[in-house]
Amino acid sequence: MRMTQIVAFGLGLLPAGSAFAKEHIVSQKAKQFTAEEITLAVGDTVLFKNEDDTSHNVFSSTEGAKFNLGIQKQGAESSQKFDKAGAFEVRCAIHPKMKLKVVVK
Amino acid sequence: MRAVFSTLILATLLSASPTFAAGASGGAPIAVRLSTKGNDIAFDQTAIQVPFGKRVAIKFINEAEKGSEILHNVAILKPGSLDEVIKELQANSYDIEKLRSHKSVLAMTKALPPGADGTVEFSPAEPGFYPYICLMAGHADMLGMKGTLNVKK
Repeated sequence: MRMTQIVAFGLGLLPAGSAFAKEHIVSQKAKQFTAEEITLAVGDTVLFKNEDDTSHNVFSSTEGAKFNLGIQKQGAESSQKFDKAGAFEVRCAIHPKMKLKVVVK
Repeated sequence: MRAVFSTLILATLLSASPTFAAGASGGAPIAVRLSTKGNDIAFDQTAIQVPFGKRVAIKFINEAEKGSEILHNVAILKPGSLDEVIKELQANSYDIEKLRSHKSVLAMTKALPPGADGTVEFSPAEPGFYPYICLMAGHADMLGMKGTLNVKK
């Protein structure tokens, strides 16, 4: 079994990044994301942490990474996985000026 | 006497005609009240029916709590144009004022803060189902803040 996995990995048959997926943290503070742009590998996740004194509603409507984390109250955190390569715009449904560009390679 | 009678009938007809015309395409508009469902990113009504032949005035109230900071608006769209308008909105990175001159946007309020209201008026050109949506980022396309105005003959 182990040999099969090693061979499969050698042949590039395992899902890209599955064994090495990273978690990136992006907070929300002062009604802004703490980064304007982040770059991930396919399969990485982003942990969205609300460290603000107000609620947020993080979402993306970009094709290939559509998601809606719903209302996040103060102190709440939610994780989102990015499975496809591309450039995605992440926003807050409550604060229209909040924007984050996620580049997945 | 006969001439006076004829004149009276003509005067009555002339004065009645504008009233009928105003009733058919203008005059006092049908008043519709629409609001948010409190702090939810949703309208309180998702289906409204009005008769064809009248101007429609929709008063929209953002009933979110003042501290919530949630902005809303309402836009009335041409029948069958919902997907096209949402694509345009996304392509413009949710800049709602860029949609004001869009050919399928019949009327829209500005972005309204909690507690504020705005009124949109329009005259439906034909009976049909007119979508109404909130243009704020994610509200219609991701959170379903939309409804249908049925203009019925």
